[in-house]
Amino acid sequence: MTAEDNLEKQLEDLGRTIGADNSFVHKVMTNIQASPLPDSQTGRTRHIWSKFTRRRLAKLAAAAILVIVLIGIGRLHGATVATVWAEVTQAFSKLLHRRVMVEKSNRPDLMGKPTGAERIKAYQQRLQIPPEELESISTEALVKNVNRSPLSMHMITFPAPDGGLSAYRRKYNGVNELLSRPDAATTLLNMYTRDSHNLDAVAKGASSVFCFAIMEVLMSSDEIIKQVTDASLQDKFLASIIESHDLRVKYNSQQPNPVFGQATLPQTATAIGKLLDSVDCPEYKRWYAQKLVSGLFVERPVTYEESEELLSMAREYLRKAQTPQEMSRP
Amino acid sequence: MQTDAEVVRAVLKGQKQAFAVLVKRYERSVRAVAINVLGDHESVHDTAQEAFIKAYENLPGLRRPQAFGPWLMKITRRCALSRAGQRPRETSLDPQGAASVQGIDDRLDEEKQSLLAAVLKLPESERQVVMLRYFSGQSVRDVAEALGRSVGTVTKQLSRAHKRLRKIFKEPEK
Repeated sequence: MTAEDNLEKQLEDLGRTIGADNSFVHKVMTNIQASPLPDSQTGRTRHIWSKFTRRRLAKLAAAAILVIVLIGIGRLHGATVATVWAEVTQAFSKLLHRRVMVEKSNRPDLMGKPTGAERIKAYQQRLQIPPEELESISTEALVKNVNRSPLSMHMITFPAPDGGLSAYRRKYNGVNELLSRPDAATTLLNMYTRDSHNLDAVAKGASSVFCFAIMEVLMSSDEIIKQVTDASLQDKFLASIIESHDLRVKYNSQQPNPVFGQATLPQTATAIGKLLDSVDCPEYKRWYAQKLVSGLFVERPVTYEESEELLSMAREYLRKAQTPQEMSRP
Repeated sequence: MQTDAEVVRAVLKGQKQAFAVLVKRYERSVRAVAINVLGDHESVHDTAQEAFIKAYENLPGLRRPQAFGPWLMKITRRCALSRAGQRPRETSLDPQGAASVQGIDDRLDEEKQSLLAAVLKLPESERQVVMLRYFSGQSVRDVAEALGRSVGTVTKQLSRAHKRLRKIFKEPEK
């Protein structure tokens, strides 16, 4: 017997050992009879779709498209990208919480209990100014409340100050009330100037170290800018902001560690930019026209370089505005 | 004799019974792949059934009907691996389970197991020919017709497979 014959014999023997069950075909066909006939068209489409949906990248792409569509719809209704984004992330976190905490972790005991988002909402509700006191509260007290509320962190955490303000408006009822007051601009200016000259007290906890950033964002809101129409008041606002900034820089240099850091410089610059936009400042208009990317202040925060440019522009504007007054003096 | 591609098209057109041809043709090949992964005879039978049913359900997803054989082997291997993953690692203390494990050892001795492993290591085209020829007991002409290849090609592939298998067996002796 040759080696070839031997191998063939071994293979045939192996085939016999593996064996075939006479009833096997019948069993398989019985099972198949029960299952629906595969449709070459719909089946194939379903197959491709299931392959596509299984891919993580495809899911991410679908989510990105959905977010873009939602932002588009929001823009059509006049909302900013930051506002829509905040809504989307909030809705997503609710869904995620439910899935992770209840379904994925197999914790049926959490069913029916408030989710993290619901608990936060209840907490936010407790932080509101009672509606019956909202109208009677003084404007100065309102500014203090708006400055000290734990929810004021929304103003700082958003990349663009406008986004922070719109989020804070939705979260805290004191903001809208304050911005609707006719004396809001003057009260804000007075308190801002007063705090700027009491930096030591602010640093020691009399007020939040972020109070300047919060007040600056409030000053740059459309409501306050509309109240500041008088040229001398506009100049006062600008002068006060620059003075406050300089005082804070000086105060920082006297401390072992800076208290009023540079992180809130974009808020200062935004207030300056919005004010320069409302006054007749040709340098600012030229500077703004050079900005190729739109949405400055609204969708895109000012950079630190732009903040420095705006500060020096405001200094120059005030210098020019004060010179004719001094010249006209006898 | 119908080729695999013709049978697949017939099934997709609504002739459910045509699938029996494929089951008969690939029954032993599917068992061989399952045995290679599982070793356990009882599971092999269930895995083979599961593989054929999965193949039937996913038949519309098969892009090249002529590649039914290799596609079915992949499905079988996946099913077997999945079943192997579900199985407890420790051997059952149940006497029936122990008997079935003993049974496989009787059926597939060490030599046969290594021959089966060698067959499954062959290139796809050669493996398919060897399985249909020896495990399913088909003639060279029938294999050629089933795979849509010429008799000459199948003969050459068988010859190459023999050479390769002999080489695999000789190498450890060196």
